[in-house]
Amino acid sequence: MIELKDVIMEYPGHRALDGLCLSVPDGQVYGLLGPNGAGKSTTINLITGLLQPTSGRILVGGIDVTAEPERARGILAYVSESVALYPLLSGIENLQLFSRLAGRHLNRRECSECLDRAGLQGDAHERRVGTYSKGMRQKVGIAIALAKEARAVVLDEPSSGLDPSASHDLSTHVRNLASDGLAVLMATHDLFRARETCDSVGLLVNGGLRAEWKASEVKDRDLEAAYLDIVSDHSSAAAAGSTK
Amino acid sequence: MIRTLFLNEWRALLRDGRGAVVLAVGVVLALISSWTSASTHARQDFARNAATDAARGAWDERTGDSPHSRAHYGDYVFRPSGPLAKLDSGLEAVTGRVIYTEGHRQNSAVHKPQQEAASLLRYDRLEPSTVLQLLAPLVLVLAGFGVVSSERESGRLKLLWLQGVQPMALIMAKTFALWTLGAALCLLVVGAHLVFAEEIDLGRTVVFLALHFTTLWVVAAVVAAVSAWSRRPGTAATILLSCWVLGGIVMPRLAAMAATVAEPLPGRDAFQAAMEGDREQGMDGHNPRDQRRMDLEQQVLDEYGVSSRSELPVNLGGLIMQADEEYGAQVWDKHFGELEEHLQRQYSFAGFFSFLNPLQATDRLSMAVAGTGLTSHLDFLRETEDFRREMVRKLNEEDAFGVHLDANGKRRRTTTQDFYTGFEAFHYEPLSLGAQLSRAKTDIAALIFWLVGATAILGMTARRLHRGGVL
Amino acid sequence: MIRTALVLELRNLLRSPLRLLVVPLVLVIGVFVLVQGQQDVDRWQDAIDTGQLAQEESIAEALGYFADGEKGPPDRSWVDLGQAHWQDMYAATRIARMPAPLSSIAFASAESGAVTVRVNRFADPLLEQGNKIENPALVAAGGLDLVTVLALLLPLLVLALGVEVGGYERSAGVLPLVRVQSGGDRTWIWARCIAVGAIAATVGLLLCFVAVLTAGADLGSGLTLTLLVLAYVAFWTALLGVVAQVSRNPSHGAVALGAAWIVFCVLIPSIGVERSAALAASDFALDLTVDARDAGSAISKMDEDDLFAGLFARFPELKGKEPTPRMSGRRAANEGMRIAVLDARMQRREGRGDAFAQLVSKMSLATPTLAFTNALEQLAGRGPAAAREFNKAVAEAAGVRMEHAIAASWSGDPQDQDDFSDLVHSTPTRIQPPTPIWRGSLAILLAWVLLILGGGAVFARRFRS
Repeated sequence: MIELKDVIMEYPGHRALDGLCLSVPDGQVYGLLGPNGAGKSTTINLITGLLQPTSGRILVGGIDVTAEPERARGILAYVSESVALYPLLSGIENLQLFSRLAGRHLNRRECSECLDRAGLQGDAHERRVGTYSKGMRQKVGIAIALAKEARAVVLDEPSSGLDPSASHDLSTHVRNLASDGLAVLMATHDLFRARETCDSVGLLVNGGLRAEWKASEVKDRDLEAAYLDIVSDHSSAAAAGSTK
Repeated sequence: MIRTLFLNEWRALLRDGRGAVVLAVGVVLALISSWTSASTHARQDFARNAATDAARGAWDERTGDSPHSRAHYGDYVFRPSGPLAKLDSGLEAVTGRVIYTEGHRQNSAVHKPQQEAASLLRYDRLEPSTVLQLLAPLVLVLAGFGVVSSERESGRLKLLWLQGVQPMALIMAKTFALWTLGAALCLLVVGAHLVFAEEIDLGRTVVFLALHFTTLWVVAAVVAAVSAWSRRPGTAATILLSCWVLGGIVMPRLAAMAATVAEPLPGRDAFQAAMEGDREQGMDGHNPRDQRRMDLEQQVLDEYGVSSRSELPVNLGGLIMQADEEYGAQVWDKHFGELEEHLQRQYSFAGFFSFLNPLQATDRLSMAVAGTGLTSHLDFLRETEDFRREMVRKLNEEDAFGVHLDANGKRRRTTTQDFYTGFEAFHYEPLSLGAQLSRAKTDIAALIFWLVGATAILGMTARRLHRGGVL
Repeated sequence: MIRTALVLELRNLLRSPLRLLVVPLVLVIGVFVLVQGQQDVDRWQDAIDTGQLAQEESIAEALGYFADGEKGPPDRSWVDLGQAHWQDMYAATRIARMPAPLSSIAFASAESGAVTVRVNRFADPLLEQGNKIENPALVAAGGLDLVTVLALLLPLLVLALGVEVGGYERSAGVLPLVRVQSGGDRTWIWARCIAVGAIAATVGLLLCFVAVLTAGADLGSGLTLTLLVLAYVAFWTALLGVVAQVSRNPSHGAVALGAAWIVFCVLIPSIGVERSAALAASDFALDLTVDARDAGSAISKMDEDDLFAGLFARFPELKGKEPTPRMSGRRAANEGMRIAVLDARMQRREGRGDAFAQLVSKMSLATPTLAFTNALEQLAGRGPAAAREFNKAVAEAAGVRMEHAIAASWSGDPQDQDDFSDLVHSTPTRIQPPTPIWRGSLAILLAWVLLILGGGAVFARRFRS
């Protein structure tokens, strides 16, 4: 489970998150939507422990990220928009390396299995990652999460730049992660993919969660219209506030 | 964890074409420099031995000299190379190779044949020490400017962080990987030296190795730290290359220039004039040479209880020569002592720049270990002067006492050829390593300062990464 | 377009603290070393003046004895100015090696030839040393003078100012915009490079101007220095242009330009130094030391006919003036023969010097930095060639003295004040530095510019395709 309780994050002269409360239960995929500058990246950096909140608590699998960052990181995986790997190593070698760093010594067969589970074609396992497409690198990212036996995964704009087929593929594998009991938080701009992949969707604007919908509700509403309404209202309010 | 990251760094280096090229160029330069230096020194040693033999042969074969004319004939001392000159020739290109040792005067070391290519001497020689002190740091810069910054730029640093990598472990592994690259070059250079060298001074070689290992650790730590503090690899590359140019090329020259300006040396004419003046007029200005001679003559006549030189059973000329020689030695000690102090003051002044530039500290310490630095040069000059004094003393004594009065009361010389052939050739025993290093305290302190400082910077860098420097 | 690029580069210069620091830094270092260089030349001049003063005192002393009708100082009865030997001693003229108009620019040159030499008939210029007492530990650092600043720092200035040209446009996606706006991105990149080169050249020329002004050098020397600096900057600008045409980002540009600087300014020169060390390895100056010392006794053992034949070959004017029997003139002939031996030794030394000069010439072909350094040292009158020319003049003067002394000795006529004055005037007092040979170096620099431009164009075309 990923939980954020009354999280405030302030940068000099700017409040990025304003009492954010959010919860992602195990076995569920949560889609975090929001315009640029809404606070999505800050939220992810806080969950991954790269930033420390000004106040509030962040829990991953019940572990306080601020108090016990290393234990929290031990059960958390991260897949970025463009998964960064060592281009001169093969898929298996990258997986082996990152697993070893996480304290798990996998042999080549186990690595191969993980890559298979993440959907990477067998003939690509031994190829250098420098030759991979973006989608293939994301599959290696997912394999790293699987190999780590993480209990929570954070995905940052995973479908950005992928073709529809690769994007669909990715959705399937993200859903598989949730089926395995992992709590999955996915920050995205892609409303269609969020609606297709997630169990719940939250809309983050100006550092606060302005709306949340269950998957069933999302399908019943016009998500795009709701998104635009809420973002537009809050942008106008923010502009008025700054004018005053 | 450090081991995994370390091995990964090496794997990346070997698989990356640029890394392999840098490594290959480093290996080739190391081998070429070791081989050329060894062959140049072999030729040099051969030529020096031939010159020494020629001078000795001329000395032994010459006949019919009185001891005094032999003192004027003199001998030649050919400067030997330092114990590790094949690794670091130090000051050999800019110090004279030959000293003429003769009666009455102390000559400087002359003949610097490389000065015929003066415009080249502005640059460093491609010898093993240059490879280790100038090019190995460059190899580390080129191989390492992206060790952390490219991880950050690509986003891998975030992934590594989430996989539980400790910043300290990361930075140490990267530094250690770079250092082993430098250390491998170092081992290769010294290994090649051991293969090509005819004589091996193991103690000095081990210290030489340890010195360069230390410096390369400092360089590796600085490279890793700058890479970690830079947002982009390009920034790191620019900063590190600038540091290399400053430390390797510009600062040593600036330090030398600053020392020259702070402690200017007298001109040769002024120096010689002051020395000749003291010798003529007495060091206090009230004891002229002619007066000294007359006093000595009276003293000897009194000692032998005779009233004229012709009645003396000894040759007064020899005694006067020796007394003048001893007085001249005092004058030389005074003036050369002052000059030596002056040179040392300049050197010490430049030494403080070692606290700003670890490459300078290494360069100076390397010359000390190799026995080719200023301390060795000054020691060689002193030893040569001692040799000259002993040679002239023996000749003057023979000139004074190697006579007897024959039946007619005429002085006859008793000196035989064996007396001359019995003179030992000059042999220089280099200063011990301990003595060399005890005179390089500033540079040792500077290197320790850099070692501690660079390692502390690694700690600071790790703390910064921990506090959000991963982003 | 160049004007637009120049405006951009000037703005970049004024708005970037790093660049704003680099330009004055090079200027300050350059002016500082020029001041040091001028002081060095002043010390050089002082040494000449001191020698000249001693010379005048010696001549005045001798003329005083002539005026008083004395043979020499009263307390030295053995001195006799009526003899050629003592006239030679008292007339021992100081020959001064005059600094070149721009000597201050290369005061850290390793060449330490003598500045003044006291010439009598026994003078041996090969054993003379320079006036400077040098600390070898500081000399070994390589020296910092205007030559170093121009040869090593000026290219770095070009690199520092132009490191992002081309690479930035390509990585930031500015290039398509430039192409659409101006019709040619290559022209724009070249314009930027030329603008950077113009700024660097301005810095170089400012330093040249200060050098010429402080030294009071003539227009010809100033123009030569200017030409060489412009050609050298042109080379680095051309290199910058080629790299800028192909670098993908500023990082690539920095590494490529840094590597080029290292190859041209460090690596290739270091190979040259290593070669010169190899060339010098077997030279322990036996000819100047053991052989020269023993030449005297070898001459005294020479067959009389050989001796006189050798002497007349060196001094043809003496032929027929020898006394009869020849034996009575042997001692003077022995002394004269020493000059012939000295000439032979100098010729051999010249041969060795030529070998080094050839090495420097070959290495100058390999890197423009060495061609530039060599040309500037020539211009400064500091190189070994200048020292060799001076030594030749000294040996020539010693020969004239010797010829005079032998003739006087053989004739047996007593010498008077007129002979003394003739002796004094027969020796030149000042030797001007040789005419600098810089055209070859300039040609090499220009050839490098063309090579870089031509090679770069081919490379850039292949890169684009």
